[in-house]
Amino acid sequence: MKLRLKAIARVVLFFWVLLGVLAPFLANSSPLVVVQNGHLQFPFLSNRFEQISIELSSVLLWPPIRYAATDLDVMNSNYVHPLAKQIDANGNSLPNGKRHWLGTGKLGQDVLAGMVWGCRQSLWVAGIGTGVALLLGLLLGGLAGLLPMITFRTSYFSFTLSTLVLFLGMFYSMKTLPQLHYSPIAGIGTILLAIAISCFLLVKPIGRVRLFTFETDALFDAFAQWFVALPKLILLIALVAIARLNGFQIGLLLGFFFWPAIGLTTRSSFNRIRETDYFRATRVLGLPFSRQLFLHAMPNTKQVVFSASVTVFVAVVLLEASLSFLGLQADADYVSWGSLLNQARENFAAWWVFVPPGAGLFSFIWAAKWISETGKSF
Amino acid sequence: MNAARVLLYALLRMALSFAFILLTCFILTVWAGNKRAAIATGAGNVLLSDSLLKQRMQNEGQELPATFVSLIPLAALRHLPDSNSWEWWVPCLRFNPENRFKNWLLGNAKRGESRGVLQLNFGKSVVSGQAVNHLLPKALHVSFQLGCFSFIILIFSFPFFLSTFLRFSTGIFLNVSYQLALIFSCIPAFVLASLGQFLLANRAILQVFPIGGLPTKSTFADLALHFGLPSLLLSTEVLAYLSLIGISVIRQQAHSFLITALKARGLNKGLISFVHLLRLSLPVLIYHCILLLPLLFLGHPIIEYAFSLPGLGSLVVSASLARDYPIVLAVVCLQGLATVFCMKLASAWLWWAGRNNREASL
Repeated sequence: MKLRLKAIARVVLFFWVLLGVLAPFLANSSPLVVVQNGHLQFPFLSNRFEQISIELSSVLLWPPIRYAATDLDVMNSNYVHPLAKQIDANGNSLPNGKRHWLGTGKLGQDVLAGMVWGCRQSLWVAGIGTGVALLLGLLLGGLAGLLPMITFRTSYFSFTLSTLVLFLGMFYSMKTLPQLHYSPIAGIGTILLAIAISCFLLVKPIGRVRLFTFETDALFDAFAQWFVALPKLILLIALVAIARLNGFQIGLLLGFFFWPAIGLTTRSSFNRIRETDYFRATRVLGLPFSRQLFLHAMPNTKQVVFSASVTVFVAVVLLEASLSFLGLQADADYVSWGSLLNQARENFAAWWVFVPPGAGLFSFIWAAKWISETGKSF
Repeated sequence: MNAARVLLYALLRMALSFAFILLTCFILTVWAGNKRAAIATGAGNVLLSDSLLKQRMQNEGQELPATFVSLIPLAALRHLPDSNSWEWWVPCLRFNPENRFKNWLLGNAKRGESRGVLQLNFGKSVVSGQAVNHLLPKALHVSFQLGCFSFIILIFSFPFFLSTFLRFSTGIFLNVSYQLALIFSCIPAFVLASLGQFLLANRAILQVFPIGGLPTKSTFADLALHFGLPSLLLSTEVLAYLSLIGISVIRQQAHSFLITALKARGLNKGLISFVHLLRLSLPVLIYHCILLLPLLFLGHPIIEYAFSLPGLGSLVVSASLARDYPIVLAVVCLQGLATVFCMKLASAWLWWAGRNNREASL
């Protein structure tokens, strides 16, 4: 039962990924292949169909859906049912090749084309978000897991001097706080601060005084917990609406928000690996840190990291869809599953506008979650 | 002697760490101030004297940054009458107590604004001109009402679900329940909201609930009717998540050593499920319940937006679209504080719940 469901989930996920990748071939108002002056041309690659005059007889191959997501069919606007009569500019019924198979939206947008391009948009944003989260999570989590503590040392002299001078400097600098007029002590404070910083910069890896132990692990933990505690949806709504971000920037931002999910997994996994005999052997052999990290630690974490990445992927798809549902996208031409659902809110009688994107989003998330929970790997 | 030395060393280290943090903040503020001044005056990153900087920034219609480094003639430091008689200029840290960002953060008693953002005074809404601190409680009231209705639904439904999971803690029933919970958790909130409105607030199919908005009368029946559908959907989302967690925990604990030993001893099945299994599973469930409290009581942006409820969630959406920064900042701060508080509370609960295990291991 579990294996059968996993196979179904794989097929569903593969279907959506394929649909997203092949969106320009599947839903486009430009023909795929045209013969002009004896040469083959591919107008869909450059959307040149409107710019250059092409005779319809010269078209060799049309895409299966002859509408892009942003195309408006004025003759079939105002929510046309998939099975209702669809007409062209002359009032005749549309031929099968030009039919809107899933009906149209308020302004005559093709719902099926919106589904295909919306899938591409979701995949694009989720791909960027997961990539950024993976990069940050692996890097920071790996550092915290393999090097939980880094100690910096200095000499007794510079340690004592910098402490005393730093305080004196700060004390004198603070004296200028109440008003903005020249004060001799402000100058003294600044000079002392400069001396203290110079002394403080004399930090070296060896020395009699352990200046501070940089607890990478504790710092990472606090940092990650802080990110986990962020109210992500509220913050995203605020940032996206105020900064008017596009899809790529939303992806980057989401990746930045979700890196702890991968980072914490990587950290705990690396903590386990650090204590294993084979990994200790790599240290005894004196292998460089990069080799320890990339060749010996990372390959053994790929399963858990994969699972965490799929979870992040799902979360990013959901958040991106939520943002576009709220109408916060910067670009008016931005079509995503969420924006299609937002259109559907205006007319609930038009079930064909919200059922396909809703079902698409649900099946995509279900498949990804199921693979993440059961699979660990493809 | 040695102890005194260790103590001194520890104190010095603490002082140094503290001073280092303060210094980093200082440097960042000064850097930002200088950068702003440099952008305004077009002088690059060079240091200018106070008077020149002030003059140039006034010409540009800008004000002095809150903290910056500027040049002061050494003659002025030495209180010499003619400041031009000396050629040396010393860089000094400068503070501008009249800076508007500083006023916004900390308030300015001279101007009658005794509190700033750091003292939880968020100023006035850019759109409506009303004080944010007056707008927030109104929105919070609506969100809280929605949360209360959802909470009531959860209080009645979750124990039923939990008892069913405990009763059938192994076997196909739990697998099917897990699949159902997974399916419900996969339906995004806005799809659920659209589906709910389509099925239960649609004249063409079944109009049990109004499509959205607040009730005109303040009777309980009217409130329940208007909050019924959104709270039902919100509680469905929460219930699906809690069910997933509950099933996972129960499934894990059902195979634990303690439960296996109790079964081997021939204890009553009900006793094992509703006393021992429940006692083992409850801490994790309560932990997740605490984490979900802000989502329940501080407004769900999507549900509120979909049902046109003027709660905190829809307030932040409309404020973001209108670029009403004070409201956005206030809601983000409130949500952030509540989330952090609930996370700390949940961690404290988990620590307290695990005290017996720790004592046993000691």
